[in-house]
Amino acid sequence: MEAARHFQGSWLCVGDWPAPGKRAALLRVSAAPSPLGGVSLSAIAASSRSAKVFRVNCTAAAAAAGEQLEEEVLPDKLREIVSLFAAVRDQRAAYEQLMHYAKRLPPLPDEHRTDANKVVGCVSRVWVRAYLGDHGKVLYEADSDSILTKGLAALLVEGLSGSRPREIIRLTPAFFHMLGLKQSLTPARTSGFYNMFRLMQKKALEMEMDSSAGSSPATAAVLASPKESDDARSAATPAAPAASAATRSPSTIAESSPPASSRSVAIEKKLQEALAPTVLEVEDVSHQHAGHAAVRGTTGGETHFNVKVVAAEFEGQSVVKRHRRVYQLLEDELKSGLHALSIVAKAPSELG
Amino acid sequence: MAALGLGFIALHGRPRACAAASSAPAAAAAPPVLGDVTRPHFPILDQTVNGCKLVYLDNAATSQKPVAVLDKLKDYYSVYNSNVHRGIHALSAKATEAYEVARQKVANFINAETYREIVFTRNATEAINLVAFTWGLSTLREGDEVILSVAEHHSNIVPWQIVAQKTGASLKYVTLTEDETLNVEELKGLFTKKTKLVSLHHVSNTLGSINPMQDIIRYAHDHGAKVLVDACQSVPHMTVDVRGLDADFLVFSSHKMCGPTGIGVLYGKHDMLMAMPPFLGGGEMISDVFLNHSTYADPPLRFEAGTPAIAEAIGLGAAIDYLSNLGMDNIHAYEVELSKYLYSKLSSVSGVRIYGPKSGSERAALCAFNVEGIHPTDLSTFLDQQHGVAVRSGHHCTQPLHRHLGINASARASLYFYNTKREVDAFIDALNDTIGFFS
Repeated sequence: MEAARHFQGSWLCVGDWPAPGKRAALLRVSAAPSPLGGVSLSAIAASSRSAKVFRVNCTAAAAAAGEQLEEEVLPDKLREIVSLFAAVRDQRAAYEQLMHYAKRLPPLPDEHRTDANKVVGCVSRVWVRAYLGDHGKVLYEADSDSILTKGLAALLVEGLSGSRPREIIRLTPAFFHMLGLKQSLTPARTSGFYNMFRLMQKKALEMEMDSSAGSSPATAAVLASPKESDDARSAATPAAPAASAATRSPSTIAESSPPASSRSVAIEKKLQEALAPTVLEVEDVSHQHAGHAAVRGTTGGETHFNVKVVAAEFEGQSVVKRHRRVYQLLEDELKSGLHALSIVAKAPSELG
Repeated sequence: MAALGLGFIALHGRPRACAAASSAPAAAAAPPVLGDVTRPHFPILDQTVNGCKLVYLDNAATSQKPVAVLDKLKDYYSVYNSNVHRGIHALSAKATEAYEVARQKVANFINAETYREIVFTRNATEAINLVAFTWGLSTLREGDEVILSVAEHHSNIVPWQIVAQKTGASLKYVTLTEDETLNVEELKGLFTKKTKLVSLHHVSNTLGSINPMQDIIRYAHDHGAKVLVDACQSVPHMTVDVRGLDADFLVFSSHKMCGPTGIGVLYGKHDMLMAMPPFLGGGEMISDVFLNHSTYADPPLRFEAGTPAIAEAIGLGAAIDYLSNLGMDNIHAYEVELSKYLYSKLSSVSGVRIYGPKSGSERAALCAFNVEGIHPTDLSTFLDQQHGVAVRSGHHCTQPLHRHLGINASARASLYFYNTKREVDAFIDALNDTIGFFS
C-alpha cells in the first residue's frame, strides 16, 4: 500500500465553509490525493479571511478527532523563492523581480505550445510543459506572451522543478499569500496563477500515474471531475469532492480483475452482513466515469458506486465515523480496482 | 542569496512619481474647457488609486455618472418608488409618469417620431437579441442573408449566428480597408436579392472609426434590406438622429452615456415593431390572458415583460437631461479636440501602433493600441498599479477584429467629455515610464 501511506495525512475538509464558527465535518480519506485537499484549501487562497477561519476549523476538527493536521512542507527551492518575494516591500521592485525571473526563463519551443500545455483562464497566453528528469523528478518549462505572467510562471518553474511528483501534488496554493504579490496582481491574474499551479500539479500527477505500473490511482478520477474550475465554483460544492474523493486505489501493484460475480453483489453482501441495514442501495455508476483516466486499464467497469445505507449502528455517530466504517468493510474492493464510492450513511431516525 | 543563484533585486525600488501629479496644471489664463467644467459633477473621479490620482480612461467600457443622475436615482427610491402601469394610487401614478416621461426623453434625444418606437431593454445586447429573436426568427428564411462586419462587437455577431443557425440564413462579413475602416465599397458589393438585414456599428469601439451610416442605410433600402445600427459608441458622444439616418432599428446602452447600468434602448420604426411577435412573455406585455391563449399589448410594452427597471429608466432620463444641458454638439466638438490630441500624443511614442484610421479622418476619442514587445496586459497592469491610469486590455469584445488585425489583444484608452488634455498627458507620461520599465 505504498501510495496510500504516502498520501496519508491529507485532509479533506467538507462542510459549510466559509461559515465562521461552524465546524466543518472532517472526512479523512486515507488515500485522498493532495490535489483534492488542495482544492479545499485552494478555495482558501481566494479569501484569506475565510481561509484562516476555515483552516482553524479544520485544525480544530482534526484535533477533536484526535488526528494531526499535517504541516505544509514546501520544496526547498520554492521556499527560497517565497521568502525572496516576501521580503520585497516595494511593488515596483516586485515587478522587477518578476521580470528578472521571466528573463531567465528560456523560451518554449513551438512544438510544446500545444492545447494540452495551455493554461486555461489566463489574461495572456501561457504554456506549461512537464517532463521527467533523472531519479523520477519532474522538470518544467513554461512560456507566456506577457512578461509579468512569464515571471509568475518562471517562479513556479524554478520553485517546483526538480521535485518529486508526490511533493508537488501534496502542495496547497497557500504559499501564494506568502509571496505578497496579491496586491500587485488583479484577481484575474491571481486566478491565472492558480490555474498555472494546478496545471503543473496535474502534469505531475500524470507522471506519477504513468510511472505506477498497472492500476491507476483514484487521484485521476478526482482530477477528472470538474474541480479544477476556479475558486468560486469549487467553493460551491464541498460535498461533491467528498463523494468522489472517497476513493482510493491504494495499490501500485496490478491486481487481477475482479471475480466473475458482480462487485455490486459483493458490496451489498459485505454491508448487509456487517451492518444489518434497514435500507441498502448499491448503484453501479461506472459508466458515468467511463472516460476518466483512472479507469483506463481497468477491465469490466465496476469502478464507481453510489451506496446508500441506513443502519441502526450509525445512530449517534459522526459522518466521518460512518464513512470510515463503510471503507473499512469494503477494504478489499478498494484494493482491487474500486475507484470511487459515493456514500450516504444515515441512522434510521434521520430518514425524512 | 546570490550563492543560491536565485538572483537578488534591491528591496526598495526608486521612489515612485505618479504621472498625474507631475503633469502641470493648466495655465490660469486659459478658459475652462468642458472637462474642467464638468469634473466637479463626477465625485468618483476624485480619488486616488494605488497611491496615485485616478485617471479614468476606460469610458468605452462604461461611463461615470454625474451627481444629477445619482440624486435622481436616490430620489426615486426615497420618495415615489412604486410599480408602474398598474395601480391607481399616488405613488404608482408618479412612478408611471416619471417612467413614461423618461421614455419620451429618449425619443426626443434621438429624434424618434413617437415614444412608441422606444423599447426599454436591459442593455444594447439585449436589444439586439430582441430584434434577432423576434424580427429575425419570424422574417429570415433559408438562404436569406445578413450582412455584418469583422469589426462588430460580439453582441452584434453572436445573436445573428444563433438565429442564422435556426433559420438557415447565412451571414456575410464586410472587412476593412487598408486604412482600417469599414470597407463600404466591399459592403455594397455584398448585397444580393437575398440580403434582408445589415447590422453594423456606427462607431467602432476598437478602431475609433465612424461609419457613413446615412449612405449605407440608403443603399441598403434601395436593395430591399433593413438596417440595424449599433449606436453604443455614437449616441453618448454626438447627436444621432434616427429619422435623419432612416434607421430601421437602433440600439444603445444607458451606462455608456452617464446613465445607470441595467437599462438600454431599442429604437424600432413603428411599423417594424408592430409586425414583430413578442420576445419575453409575462406581465405588462399582455392585453388579456386566458388559460388557452393570450393577446398582446402594442409596442413598446409588447416587448417589456415584467416589472421594468423603473429607477434605471428614470436615471437614464436624468442622464439625457444632463447631456442635453451640456449640448451634444458641444460634447462632440470637445471630444474631436481630445481625440486629435490623444492620437497625436500617442502616435509620437515610439513603438506604439494604433489601430484604425489615421487622425486625418475623424476618429472617436479612443485609441486601441499595442506597444512593440510589451503585452497589453503588462502595460495596463503597470499603468494602473504604478500610475493610477485606468485603460482596458484584452480583445474589447471584438475577437474577430483582433484576429483580422493579426493580434491577440490590445490596450485601449477611451475618453469622455469629463477627461482633459492634462489627463492625456498623464497617460502618455505613465506610458513612457511603463515602456521604459519593460524594455
